[in-house]
Amino acid sequence: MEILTQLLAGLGGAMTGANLLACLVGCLLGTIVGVLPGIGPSATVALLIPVAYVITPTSSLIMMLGVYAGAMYGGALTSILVNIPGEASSVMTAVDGYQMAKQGKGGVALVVSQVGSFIGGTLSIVGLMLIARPLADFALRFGPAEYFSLMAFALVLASTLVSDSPLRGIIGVVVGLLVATVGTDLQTGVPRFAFDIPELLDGIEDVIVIIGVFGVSEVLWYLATSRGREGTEKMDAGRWKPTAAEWRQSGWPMVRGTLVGFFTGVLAAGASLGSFLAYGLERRLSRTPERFGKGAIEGVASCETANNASTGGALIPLLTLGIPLSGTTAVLLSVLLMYGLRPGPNLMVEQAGLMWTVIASMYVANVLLLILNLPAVGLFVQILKIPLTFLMPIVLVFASVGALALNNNLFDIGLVFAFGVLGFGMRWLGFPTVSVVLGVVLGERLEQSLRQALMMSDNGPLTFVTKPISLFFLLLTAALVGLDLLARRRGHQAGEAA
Amino acid sequence: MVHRLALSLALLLAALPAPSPAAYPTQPIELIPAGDPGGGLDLHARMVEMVFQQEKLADKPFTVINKGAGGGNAATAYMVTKKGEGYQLQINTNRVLLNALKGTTKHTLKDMTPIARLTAEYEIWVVRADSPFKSARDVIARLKENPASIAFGIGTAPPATDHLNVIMPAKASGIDVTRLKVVAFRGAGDLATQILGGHVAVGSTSISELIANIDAGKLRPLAVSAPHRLERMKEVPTWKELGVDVELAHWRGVFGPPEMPREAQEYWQKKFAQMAGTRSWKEALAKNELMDAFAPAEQFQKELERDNVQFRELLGTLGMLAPAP
Repeated sequence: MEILTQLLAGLGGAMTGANLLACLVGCLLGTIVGVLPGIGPSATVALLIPVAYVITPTSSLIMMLGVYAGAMYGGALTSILVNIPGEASSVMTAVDGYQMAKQGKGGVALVVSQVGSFIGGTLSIVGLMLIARPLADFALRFGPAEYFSLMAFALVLASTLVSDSPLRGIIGVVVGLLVATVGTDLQTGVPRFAFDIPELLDGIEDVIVIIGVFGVSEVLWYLATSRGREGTEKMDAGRWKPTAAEWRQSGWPMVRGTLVGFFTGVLAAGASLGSFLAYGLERRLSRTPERFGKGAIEGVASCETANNASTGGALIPLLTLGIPLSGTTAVLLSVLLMYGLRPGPNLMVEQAGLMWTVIASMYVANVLLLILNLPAVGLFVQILKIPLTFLMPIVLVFASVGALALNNNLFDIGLVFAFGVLGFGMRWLGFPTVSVVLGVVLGERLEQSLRQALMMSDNGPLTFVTKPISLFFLLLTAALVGLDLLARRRGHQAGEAA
Repeated sequence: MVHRLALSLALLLAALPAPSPAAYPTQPIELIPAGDPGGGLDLHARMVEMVFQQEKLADKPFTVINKGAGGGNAATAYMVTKKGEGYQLQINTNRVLLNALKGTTKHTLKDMTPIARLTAEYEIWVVRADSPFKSARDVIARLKENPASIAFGIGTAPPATDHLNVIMPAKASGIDVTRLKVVAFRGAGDLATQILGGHVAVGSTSISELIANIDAGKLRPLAVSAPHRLERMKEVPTWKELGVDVELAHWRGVFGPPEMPREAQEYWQKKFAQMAGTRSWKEALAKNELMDAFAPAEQFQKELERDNVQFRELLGTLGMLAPAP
């Protein structure tokens, strides 16, 4: 009850003209940033810092959180329409969303992604209100050993399942893991595979690989396969209203996506991890897993819900422990400090008024984003009416601009194209390209957690089985592999019998 | 008569500050933090921008451009391309020395023009409130028995200030530093959760990252690398008080491009000295738990050279020094 009165008071604060305007501006900016690959929410929030000098702390925080939420909504647009996920957390959206667009269901995918975003975003704030403290304490139980086992689980769940051939899937992941080792090693400070190229010292950013392997390789694929069909071919804008059956298919994935996204959001690397896990879970639970990767609406629904649900989770370590675990929350922390607010164990008590206004504004932001974006779907799907001969060069421009926007460095454009060629080659040879991306995104933390855990362990690798949470995820991983092998053997036997 | 005098005086006054055609600065200044948005260097750039604005010190506006790639090397590399120009200022830290020593960049102190040191943050050893370690002496005693018996957590890849804050006190206590276990985490936030969660026995990092949890009684600082006890943490002893001859600051300073014009150098030396004296600057520092450590160019340069000698020796002991070209 107390929470409700506080929330109502907070809503009162959030609905004032100035705050509502701040929220709207933030949401619009965030959506644009989400659409543009390469420009992330953290850089945008940092750009807004000067604005924070002229408006009140509350308004500027509201605007920044609007950007944060908006970016997660916007990320779905390019993933679905042109196969360019702007960040790691919308990779899985592209996997099925773009296929849906090719089948004339781009509008449907967009509507489902926006509604899923709304549900995930809103429910995660409820979670933030109700169980922030216990969840923060739970997150603290994740040490390197636990992270390693969780990453291994995520990799197995998501990677072996996107491919019909586990071996090809694993090879894809290994390529990704190799790419993830490029750069200065965290433990020793020694550059690995950087070949004295200064741009490689910090490693290759996830987004570079993603834009290359998805966007650019799609263009190359079109070039290689479209001979004789030039000029006329285009995708179909089609209908954009999901049918009742499509809503039913999306319902449970959204619920599960919210849960997975919210809980993983509390952890480091939350948003992308959450969307991978949610996607893997749906395919695993589905009676028709073969549809995944070929335009399954459940894939889009679960992934988009999960990455938005992670925003609520990611705020928990910041607000309850004063610890930022992502770029965006780090910038938010510096803004809070600028106003003399010190996030930490006591912030929610000492600054209850401000905090509840901000939390309430997150609800408002989600409502605004849904109102803004749903009608815009009709507009965005018009992109699909552009003949592919014209659309593909635009995709290439978009990919290049996105790569350049990352660090203002031409080298990154070169890298994007290199990964485009790699993605094309792998696709040509029948390897699932999304496995590469999975390896890149999860690889660094997987490797570092492994080494951290071993360095800190008194009894070597036993640390992974003596810690209960770690053991739990390892057993889960083993069960997954076992089930797969069993199903495969049954499949073989059935095949032989027939 | 009086009128005429007044008029001619007025005319004279109006004509007096007649700007020489090349009055520096004539265009906006690029302010380049050698770190990404949200980090400490970025914060410094935003603070400088804000204080120049608030205190009306800015003759031309700043454009903040983050160049954090390559462990901050991207910022210096960019500055080198602006050799002899006067419209770029980078904000960097002792990585300018460390990166050159470990060989990830060929640009050394000679390729930059120190303008001023602005702030310093001191480093602490910190444990969870329920840790058996009550004093840094307990930790040192254990290390003397077995240097590899404690895993230290740091918030960034070695060699770095967090890392030196483990090595220097251990070395000064006569411990074999090559056997120490130092585990690096990706960022101060990551490290903080690892200490709070009880996974890391002793954390070594700068104060501001952890102060909220120290104030809340969840973490206990054991020693601080400052020359004297800090106002903010009066109960925490310095290394010197503990009988360990160590002093270490994580400073942030402003550098111009190599061969920056004399005029531009003097202009910015004066401006930053002015800025450091303002109330807005002091307030901004207090809010971010930063210590004023203003040092004018000459002193800054000397201390950089002194640090460089010390770091070279330390990295040599650890086998982290780049082979001479």
